[in-house]
Amino acid sequence: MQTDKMKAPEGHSIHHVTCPHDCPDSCSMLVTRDDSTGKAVRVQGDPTHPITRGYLCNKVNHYLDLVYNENRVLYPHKRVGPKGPGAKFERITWDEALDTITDNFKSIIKEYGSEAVQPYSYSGTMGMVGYWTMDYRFWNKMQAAGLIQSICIYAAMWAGLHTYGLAHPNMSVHEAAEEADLMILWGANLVSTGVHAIPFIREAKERGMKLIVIDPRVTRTTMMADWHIQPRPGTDAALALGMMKVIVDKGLHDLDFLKEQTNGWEALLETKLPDYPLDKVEKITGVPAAEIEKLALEYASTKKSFIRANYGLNRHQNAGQMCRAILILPCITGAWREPCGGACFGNLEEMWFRCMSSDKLHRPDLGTRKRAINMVQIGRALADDIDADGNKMDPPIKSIFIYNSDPANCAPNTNNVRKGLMRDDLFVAVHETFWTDTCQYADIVIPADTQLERMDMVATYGNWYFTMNKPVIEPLGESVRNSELFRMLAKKMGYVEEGDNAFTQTDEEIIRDVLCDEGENNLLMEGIKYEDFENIGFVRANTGTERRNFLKNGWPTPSEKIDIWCEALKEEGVDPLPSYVPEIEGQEDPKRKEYPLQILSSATHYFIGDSFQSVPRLQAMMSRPTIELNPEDAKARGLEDGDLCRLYNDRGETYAYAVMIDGLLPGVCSTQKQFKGSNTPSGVNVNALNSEMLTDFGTSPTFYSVLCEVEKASDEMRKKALLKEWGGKQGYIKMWREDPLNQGIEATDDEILAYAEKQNPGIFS
Amino acid sequence: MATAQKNFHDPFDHYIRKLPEPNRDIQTTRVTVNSGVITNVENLTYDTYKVVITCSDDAPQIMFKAGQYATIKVPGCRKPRSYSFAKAPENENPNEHTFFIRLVHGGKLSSWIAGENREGEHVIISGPLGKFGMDPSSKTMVCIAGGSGMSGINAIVEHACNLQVERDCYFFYGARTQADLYLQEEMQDLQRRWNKNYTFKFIPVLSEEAEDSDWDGPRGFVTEHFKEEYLNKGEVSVNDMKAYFCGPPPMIDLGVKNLQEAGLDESDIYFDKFEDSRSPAPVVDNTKCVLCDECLMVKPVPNCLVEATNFQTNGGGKITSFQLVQPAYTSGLYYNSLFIDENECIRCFACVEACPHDAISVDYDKTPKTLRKYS
Repeated sequence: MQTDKMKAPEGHSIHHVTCPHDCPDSCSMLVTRDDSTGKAVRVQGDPTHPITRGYLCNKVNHYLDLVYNENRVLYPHKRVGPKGPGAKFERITWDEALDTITDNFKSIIKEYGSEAVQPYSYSGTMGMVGYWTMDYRFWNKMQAAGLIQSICIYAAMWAGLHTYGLAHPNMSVHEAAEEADLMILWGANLVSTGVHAIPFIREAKERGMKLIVIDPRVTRTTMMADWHIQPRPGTDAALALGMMKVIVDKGLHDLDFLKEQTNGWEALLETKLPDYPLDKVEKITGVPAAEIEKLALEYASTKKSFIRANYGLNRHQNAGQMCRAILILPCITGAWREPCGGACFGNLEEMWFRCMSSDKLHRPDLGTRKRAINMVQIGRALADDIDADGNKMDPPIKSIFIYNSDPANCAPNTNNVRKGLMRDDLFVAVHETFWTDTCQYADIVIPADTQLERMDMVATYGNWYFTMNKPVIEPLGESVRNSELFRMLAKKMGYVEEGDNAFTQTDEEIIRDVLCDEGENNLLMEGIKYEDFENIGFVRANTGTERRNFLKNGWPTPSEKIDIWCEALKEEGVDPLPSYVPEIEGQEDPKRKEYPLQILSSATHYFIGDSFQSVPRLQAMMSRPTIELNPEDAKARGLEDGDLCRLYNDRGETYAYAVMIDGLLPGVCSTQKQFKGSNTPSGVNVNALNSEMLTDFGTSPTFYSVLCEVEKASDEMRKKALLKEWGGKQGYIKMWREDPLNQGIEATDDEILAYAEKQNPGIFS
Repeated sequence: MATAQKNFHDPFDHYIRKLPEPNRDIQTTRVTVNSGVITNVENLTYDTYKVVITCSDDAPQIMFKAGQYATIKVPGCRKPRSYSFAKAPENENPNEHTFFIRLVHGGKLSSWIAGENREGEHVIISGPLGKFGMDPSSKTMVCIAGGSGMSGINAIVEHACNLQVERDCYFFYGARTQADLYLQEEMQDLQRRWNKNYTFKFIPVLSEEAEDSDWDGPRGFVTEHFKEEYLNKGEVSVNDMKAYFCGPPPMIDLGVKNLQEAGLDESDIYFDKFEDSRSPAPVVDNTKCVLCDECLMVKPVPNCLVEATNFQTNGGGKITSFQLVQPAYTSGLYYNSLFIDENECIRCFACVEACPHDAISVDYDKTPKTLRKYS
């Protein structure tokens, strides 16, 4: 919406936009539009937003390059010729696209039943409307197959829900930094994945707050820490339980808090903690006993402590218990008594689920979904017809509709996913902003918009602000936002019924009537009016409402206390107390004899999952996948900085360039998650190596439970890599074309390689 | 022990109160780099030129505010030079920009301008830069300029006059002799057009005018004249004053010192010093830098702030060479370093101001720190 927060230059206007990408900051942006051309000409951070504070990250600073990008899908297309990498497409009309899709839906439903239609989506946009409103209603009405959207956060989410219910610290990491004495960033590389916390933390450090970062990797965040602790990956539960034992043994625990506010604390103290003496924890975690003790004592020295964990932790096979153990730490010290105290991964559960607290958003009354798949296991669902419960699906998935997601690159076990997408009897429709690798498998590709082109409201998951934006520019080409797409599909399917606004409600009505309910269902909206957004663009959730006074009114759990002992987990066959169980394909797995390196595929500094990979500046700064290696591990394999490496295990292989990182734990390596497969030498990213195995509870993916071996790539592959990756495409081929000596002549790959060698002698030596 | 209830105060209230007021004076544009043509060169004095640079109509507009500056790069000079926009933006066509350029002994750009007729020459203009500009208060404006510092102040007073601001303005201009004075008529015109209920006064002060000349105006150093005749005599009061300085560093340093001694708060003083390559260049501390690219958004010249790798240093730790991060040939920036090349830096300090993480300062250690171990 237009704002007068800043003076717009002559002929321009300034508008509020909320960054919609999958990040805990959800920045408030000010976008300058040239009113004569209707084009957005500038983005900048909103200086009045208390978290954004006037600056953007390296990704969103280049947002206009994402909006006005040559890789955008601007019109509906149908595939002509075979599917798979290299597929060709032809422009069609929207009408033809919608007819093709809905005719397919209708015939599949008639022949196989509605459960043979599978929707597939996740966090391509975080706007509540675009993320999950009209689409849910549509699939409910169709009674299509369900989708367990567990790919990112489920293990951590269920760890939290099983412990605290729908409850989080009252302050985000930013706010807590202003008061806390001790901050632990646990597996959180916030410089790359939540940068707006950094100035708050820096200021807090200047005033004396101690910053401890726990991470097996060395990152730009660990470089800022007062103290960097490196447990072996997947052993953090043992570290947390070891800390608890030290605190209790020294009598530094807050017994009153445990008695008043928690359930099952006696069992934890009496039966669980004795299993975690320092020498054993040292052996498991690799952290020296003296350090563990010091860490425990530092943590117990103040109640003004804040733990911000991050979702990398929940990508280990033993993640549920690991997350729970970390989240329970502030119960031992009673840190919850302080407004700045506690532990969290963010506040996603409250911000999202309270928005969904009425059935008005998803309208489950429209229909029941009979079966479901877990989105992590899309590979086996498509290739082997297996559903979330492990049952054979009959009928199999016959039609898949993909939006807000690029499963060919982001789902585990890529080769299986791509095998499934290649099925001749599978109809694939993709709604996308960019030509992703998934589009290559589509029968129909329809164009999606960007945040500058739509209205939406974002419920931030890393701080307490709700933020709204309205469109600044007209949709580019023929792109259509998610909600409108499903309105169009509903109309074609004949789902629109008189007297029911399920498919006629506008985006503004959804925000005004359902999301901004002034606290009727969503207590975080208590006292907040729709008009508040019109005026400022963002409003802080009402975390201070008496309805959220957990210490006084009890916690939103079955026992109405903090469930250190969780009965629901016991029923699932999981230890009801936090515990450390060695992860499958982790540090203690005997498979390490064959595949000695555990590979972590962490978030990159340059992309947000799959998003932003088409932005030239970001591509240039992350032009090739890398593998971080400890120099000793590299030396043992004859690898040097910059060498192209083959990463492999029984499931698959991918390629990345070696980067030597001093101080990275031996036996651990790290690469980028969701790197665009078609920009890598072998066409697939590191997800070729991982499996569809799920976590101990929470049905999360196990992206980090991967053992592999690394070797120097063959010369043939190095040449292929030069042509395949960004640098090759944009570098030597471009250089060839622009070289006046070659003008007009198309070159073969070999000629370009010879040319590259001439330009950069020794490039292959 | 305090009860749980007591400790559970209301953080909502706390943060609502802290919500900052919108600042309507934030710089609204980032740096635009345009090519332009010199369309007019006029002598203002024997050694000062008025130079108009015109960009093409379809080039992105350089949306500057009065007081800001641009860098200009001319053919044959490796480094660009910084000049203030000399007119208020609303007094110029959108793609035309006027600068006052004074011939400096040994100055490459000014000698180039003075060398022959430069109309029609192509130049590169980058801007806007800097935070110097008019404040929104209604306090008396005291402007003190020296030499070609006339330009930045002229833009500000033109802008203030156009707005018909409800405040008095005293503009002291320091020059050597009468031959160095220019824009006299324009100043009289400003005085006529100034808000009728307030005063505008232009006071040229000459430091080297021959004693027997016909000059009946004030003589001496401009800052001293202001102090003795206006500040000490109560003509203006530090309780109702905003001071603007533009010109040579010694003039500014002395002027600021005088005002601070008289009790004027630091926050009421604005200045735009002429820095040059003798000043130390800022340094990026990569243990603080988060690679947010905000500094790159205000970069005035292509090679001042670069993504660098493979630093070579001599025995004394001085960097003797480095390689640029190149897509496909080197590891990405994350493993390397943002780096300010002091040979290219024009000392605009825009990056220092833009950095939200306090990662750029002239005081930081110059040894690059990176995540990566070089082989």
